[in-house]
Amino acid sequence: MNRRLELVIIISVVVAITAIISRSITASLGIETTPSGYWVTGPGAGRASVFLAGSSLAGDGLAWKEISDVLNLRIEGWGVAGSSPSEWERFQHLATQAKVTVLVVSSYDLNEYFLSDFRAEVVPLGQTIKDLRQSRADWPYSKRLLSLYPLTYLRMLYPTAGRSDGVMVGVRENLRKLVRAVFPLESEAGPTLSFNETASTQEYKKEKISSWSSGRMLRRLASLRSACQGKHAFNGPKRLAFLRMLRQAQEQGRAVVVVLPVSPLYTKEFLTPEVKREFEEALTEAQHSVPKARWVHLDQLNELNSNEYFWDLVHMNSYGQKVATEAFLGQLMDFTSLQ
Amino acid sequence: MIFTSLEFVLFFVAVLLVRSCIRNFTVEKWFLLVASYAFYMSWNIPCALLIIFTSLVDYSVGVGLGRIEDEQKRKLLLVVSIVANLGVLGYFKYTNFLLDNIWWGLTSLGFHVTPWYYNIILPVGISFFTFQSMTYTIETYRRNIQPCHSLRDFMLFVAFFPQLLAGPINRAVDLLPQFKQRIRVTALDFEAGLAQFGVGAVKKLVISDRIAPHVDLIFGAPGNYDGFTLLQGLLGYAIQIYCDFSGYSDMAIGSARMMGFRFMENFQMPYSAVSITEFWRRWHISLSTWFRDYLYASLGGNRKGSARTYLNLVLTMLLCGLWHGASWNFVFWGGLHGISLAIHRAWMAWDPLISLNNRPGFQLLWTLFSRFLTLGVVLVGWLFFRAQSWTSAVEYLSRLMVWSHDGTRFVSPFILSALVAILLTHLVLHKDRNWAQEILQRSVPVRIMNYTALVLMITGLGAMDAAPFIYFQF
Repeated sequence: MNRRLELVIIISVVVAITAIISRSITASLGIETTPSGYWVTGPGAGRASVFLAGSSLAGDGLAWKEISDVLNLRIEGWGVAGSSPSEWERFQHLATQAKVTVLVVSSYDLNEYFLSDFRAEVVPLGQTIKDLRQSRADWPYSKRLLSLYPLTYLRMLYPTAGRSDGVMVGVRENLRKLVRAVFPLESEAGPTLSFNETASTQEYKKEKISSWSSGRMLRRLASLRSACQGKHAFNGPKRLAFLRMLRQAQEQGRAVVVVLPVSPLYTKEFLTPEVKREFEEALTEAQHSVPKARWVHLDQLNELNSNEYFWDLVHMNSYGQKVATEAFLGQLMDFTSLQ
Repeated sequence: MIFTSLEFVLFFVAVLLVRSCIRNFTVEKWFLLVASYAFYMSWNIPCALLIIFTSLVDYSVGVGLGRIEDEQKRKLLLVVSIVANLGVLGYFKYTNFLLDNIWWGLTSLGFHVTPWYYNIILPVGISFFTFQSMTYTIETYRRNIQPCHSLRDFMLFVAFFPQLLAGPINRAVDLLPQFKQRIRVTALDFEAGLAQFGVGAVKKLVISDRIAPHVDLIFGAPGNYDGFTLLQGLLGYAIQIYCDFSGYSDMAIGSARMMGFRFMENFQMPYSAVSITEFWRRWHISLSTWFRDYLYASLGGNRKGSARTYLNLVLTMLLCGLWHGASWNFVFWGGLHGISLAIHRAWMAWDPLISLNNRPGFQLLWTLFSRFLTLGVVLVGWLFFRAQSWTSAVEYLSRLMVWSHDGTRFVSPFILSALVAILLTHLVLHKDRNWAQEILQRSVPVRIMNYTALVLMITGLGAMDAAPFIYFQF
């Protein structure tokens, strides 16, 4: 056979086989490949009057079903893994009926260096370029952000591309299930998006990082450090999107910003005094930008300043959620008047 | 733009497509030259002037060497080339190191000085392209090659993008002739290149970048960990640097081969070496042979007696260490390898166990012992190579040697998996075989299976944010 034809056949067959296997892997390991899932909770039917914008930290940090029941409010949102204001902003345009917008942020969510896996699928390229130019982002960061866009095309063929963490965690969890009966093993699965269920429904959300083994702690720290390249910044596209969201929320009705805490361990490892100052400055700027917005600083709650209240370095566990939800409701007793 | 980025893939595909449309050989070479400079300028635009400077100086020296017959004048021209190249390298790489030592010396002597330093950016790839360019002037001086009379060809030889940032350091005698005649890219070349590029990507994305965060963690605070963790970190770094650099070399060789160009191999399973001498025949081959041919040989090599040979070995390796970076850690690393090479040479000359060599049992044990000893020396060397400071290296080594129990035990599944994979590879594969070359001789189904495995590893297990290659800093 002609060597050139042989090579074309080989490449075609390899691409076909690997694409099929890649799809099978994502399906069998349950790796999320769709960017968002709409959810709604609370009384009544139809579209909600409250739009919740937040990442998995918001889902774990506050019991939205309970909040919705207590305040008799219908709340809706779109869950995107690892999301931030850049992604939430796209869904704000869809929440047309919402009179109240609740933005749940933290020093983790607003860190420009943590990028959502689905960013390119949610945020248009034009918006990203505009934000990068406006925030005068440096070239390495811009390159990192822009390279997510071609990745979406590669993922049409190989959905596992760039999702090696998901593949490895999936494989590990499946192996654990096989041997769990023999050896009691701790799970190292990542967070899942769950806004309209109580934390206690998922076993791992009862864990406390204070009881983690040092090895597990170090692995998770290394993984987070790698994900954000060991850097924190709050002056890029996420900040711009956050400010736009606040202004839009104000135009639609009222804006409520909830600042969530991260674990003391995360604070110790990543939030240097300089980083903390920059984060506070970003929040102050947002406050000045939309003075009428209501701010709930759960990050200043001394009670939550304990590793006992986190199942992960940034996600609150069911105990933390209880404390945070009570505090949140306590601070928003007049919430119904916001409607 | 690094080889493992989508940016490079798009750039490379564009280069291949445009090049295939060009019918004129001269236009093709101009295009490759422009593409190479564009590739370099994606890192740093002003630093491209350095490559132009190096190219112009060495091209002029080469032309001069071709015209002048007088040996004194020829030698002077060579000195001009060496001084220019090493001057550039020295300024950018060693100025602050020199100042640092001057301040330290003055302070030690009791002088009160306020240290100051120059704000110098180290241009990426400077150690590589200056050394590659010097191969031309040295070989022309030695009359091993004819001077190149095309400035464009010479600039392309220095700046050709697959090898520009971290080698392999190609010899002028090997690469320059490849720009003289138009190369037709065959399907065989393309497949061989693609396969080697794929192997390199697996080494970099699946192994090196995966274990890097855990290695960094351990080397970041060696005082916090127990002996087991420190050993794991050290073995992890040995794997990381091998997979990172040999992965880079594979990708460089592979991308050149996809365009029809042949580069020299840079690695050949170095951790299977049974002596430190063999290790250097298998590790960073283009650099070790550069030092052998242009420095060790110039110092007299092994032609001036045993003592001088040992001295030459140590001196060569000290400079090899300094080439890697402006730090005493690198000098120590080079010195350790130099002394080890000298000891091995002395042992080979003496060899009191020669009578036992025919016994199979002894041979097996001796080979095992030699491998462990070689690996031991290499690992200690890596410790000083990687450690953030001399104090940190000493602390790491001392805690490791006493097998410290006080400290955290951190088990890295990535490092352990990589260790098993590398160990199995070294046990299963013969150390002189080259998978990327041999795969082409296999049947179509076997090749499909192999390439499928490579693609699945890259797309399923590859790290997303590829870190820059370790050797870029040199």
